[in-house]
Amino acid sequence: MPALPSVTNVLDEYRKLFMTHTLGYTCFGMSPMDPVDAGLRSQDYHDGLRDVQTTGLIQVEMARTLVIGKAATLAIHLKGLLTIEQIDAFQYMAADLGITPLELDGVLKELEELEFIRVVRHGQRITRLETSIPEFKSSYSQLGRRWEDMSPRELERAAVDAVNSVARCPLSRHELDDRYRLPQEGLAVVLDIGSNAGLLASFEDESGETFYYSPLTVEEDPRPFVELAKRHPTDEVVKAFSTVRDRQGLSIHDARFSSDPVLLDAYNIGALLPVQVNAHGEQRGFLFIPRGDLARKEKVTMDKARAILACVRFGEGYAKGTRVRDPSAILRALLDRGRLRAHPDHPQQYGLLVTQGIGAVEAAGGGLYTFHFHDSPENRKAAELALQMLEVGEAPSAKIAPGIGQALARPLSYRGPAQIRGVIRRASKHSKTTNLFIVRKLSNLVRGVETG
Amino acid sequence: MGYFCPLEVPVSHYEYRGGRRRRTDVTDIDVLGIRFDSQLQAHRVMADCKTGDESHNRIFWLRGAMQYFEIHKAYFVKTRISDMARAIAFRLGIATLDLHGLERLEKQLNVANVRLPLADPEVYDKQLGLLSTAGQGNGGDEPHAVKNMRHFARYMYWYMPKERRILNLIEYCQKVSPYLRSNRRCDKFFVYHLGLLLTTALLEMGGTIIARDVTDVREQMRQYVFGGPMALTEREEFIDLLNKATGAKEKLEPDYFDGLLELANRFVSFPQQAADVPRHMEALAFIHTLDTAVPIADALGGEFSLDTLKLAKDVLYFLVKVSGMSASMIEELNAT
Repeated sequence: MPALPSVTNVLDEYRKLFMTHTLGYTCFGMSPMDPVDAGLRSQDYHDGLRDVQTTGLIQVEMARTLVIGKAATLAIHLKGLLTIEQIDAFQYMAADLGITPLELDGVLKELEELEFIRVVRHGQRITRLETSIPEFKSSYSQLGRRWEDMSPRELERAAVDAVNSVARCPLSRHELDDRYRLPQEGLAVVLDIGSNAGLLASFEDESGETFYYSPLTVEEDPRPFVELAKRHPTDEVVKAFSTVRDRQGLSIHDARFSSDPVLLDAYNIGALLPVQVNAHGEQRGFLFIPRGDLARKEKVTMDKARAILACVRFGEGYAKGTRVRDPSAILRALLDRGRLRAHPDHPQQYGLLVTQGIGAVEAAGGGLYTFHFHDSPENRKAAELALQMLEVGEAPSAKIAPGIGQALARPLSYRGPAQIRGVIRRASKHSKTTNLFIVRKLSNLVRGVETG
Repeated sequence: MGYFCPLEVPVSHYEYRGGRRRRTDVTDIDVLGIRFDSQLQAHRVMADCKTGDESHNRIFWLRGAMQYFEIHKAYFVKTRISDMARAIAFRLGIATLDLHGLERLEKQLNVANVRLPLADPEVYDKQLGLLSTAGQGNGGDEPHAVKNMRHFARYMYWYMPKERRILNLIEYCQKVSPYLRSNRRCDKFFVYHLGLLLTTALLEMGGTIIARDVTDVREQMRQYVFGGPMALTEREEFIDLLNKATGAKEKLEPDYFDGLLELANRFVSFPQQAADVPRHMEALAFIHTLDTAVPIADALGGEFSLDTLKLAKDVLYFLVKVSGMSASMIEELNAT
């Protein structure tokens, strides 16, 4: 007997039908997003807009995305904790993360809905939080599903999807128009919102054509990535980069790389980041997707994360003797135990980490060596980023300060980061088209016309 | 001393006779105490509390029972103990406690600080009474699922290999959940009792994972619950063949496996906190179903931990959810 469609499938179809016929916008070519992507991009939006003095447009049109993004940010910091009693300190921490006390209840509600936390109250007062952030299942997948369940409106959906799309492959204005089929001002609003969040940027090539890319996946110069997008069909670029995203630290000797002309081209023109591991007289390259929009210190940590993962990948593919079977187990061993079991290959395999100050190799006798992890906040953060790259293909918490969650576990109250830096919130900027969009909406409101 | 005492642990032997599995009572243990250390290794104590004159034989029996049940320490408790009995017990590694000795030990351990009525015979009988009536609804014949659950919780759970306890316990809970009502005290108590059994099984698994390889919890857990690496391979192959033969898409791991993995991971990541979950769960049962009017923080004589309480609640919420029980069975935990 054929399997009945699941309830989720039926609801998805209904939702698509509802969206296309009743809301006035039709978005062709926009299938439901992968939940992990939806969760990640929501967090990116929250991150990007933290230091922006947002207008009503952004707060209203991106409301669901921002609450999920805040939930994702909070979840990352609560990972590994059991209970939080110091609610004041927790509120300070949340505020530091860009979640105001007024917003916190809504964010906690979303986390409760996902069973990531339990809020213990006495009357109206929160007395304790009990946290259960998943370690094995991607919390982004659950957050992304929650985002879908909140039925984001067309503009919001397009804004999130646009960032996700151009992060995978730069798209021309024409391609974006084609993809979303929003009215003229709709796309301008989407681009404005993405740009204000620092997630969308434009680049004009020699012929004057404008391409949109995401600083998320461009570390400095967008030209290589844009050039790649011009040379190859979009879906091939997306597929190629997905290959690397699904296996961050892909070896350049891997058949998946050498048989993909797009990946070869991307490597040659500098759209991918290689990390070299020199061992046993050989040089092995491991490829990573660029991660942009990072401050200098964050870049250093990111580089360390790539070095760690590259060395583990070396152990997976090229170690003499027993090879690594489960890379995530190695990374967890570094984080939990601070060392790796004795192996003859450690001096070769982890030499790069020794030079970067991430660890040290010690002789254990019998031709064996142990690798000891230098457990500093930066190195720990790097190992956590490496684990995230392994598990979700990205490093979403690259911008988040290390150890902030652990501060809650100490008896002293958390009052804020050690270095207090003044943050000047930059005002959001809108194009003329977006401003016209806002004026039209307000005018309709005054006239009593349904805006949808 | 940090031990929790499961209720009424009879010792049974199962045989296959006449085409059926039959159970025979072998003996019963007066008091069994289990404690998990910071590496989640189980330490078991038992106490044999007797009146009458046949001390020497009983002490020899106790030694055999220690070996059979993998008990680390045993106490022979009697109002008066002869010198010869003490000497024999000492040779066999068994501690003796007469009335004075018992009183002295209780004082040394500040037993009075533990404000739960653990040693109250009336409360003890009440617990047994609640367990015997759980799931029986509004009269009529006891449903088959309830009968089986009761049999499992009382006998099979303690008899079967440890690694089979978790999945079997959950399976039985799923079958019995339609018969449990949140407005019946006996059913609520039963849920806490099942929570304690699940906790014990999880701790035993956690101890094995820590001993083998704590950096690969997922794989170690798979190997544990499916009987070891070879048995795991065989089961995977069987499921594969089953799917090929029937066109089904069954997985070896049950649907709740990810949730169970997260729970197990929390136990092995926080073993010191996890080790005391059974006593905290006992305290919750006393407070929420046995009318013990003591704040949870004061119930355990200064050994209360919020983190451990949280883990105990995690076990109960997980059990209720995967069994399909109503969340109202443990709604009082929301404010605890």
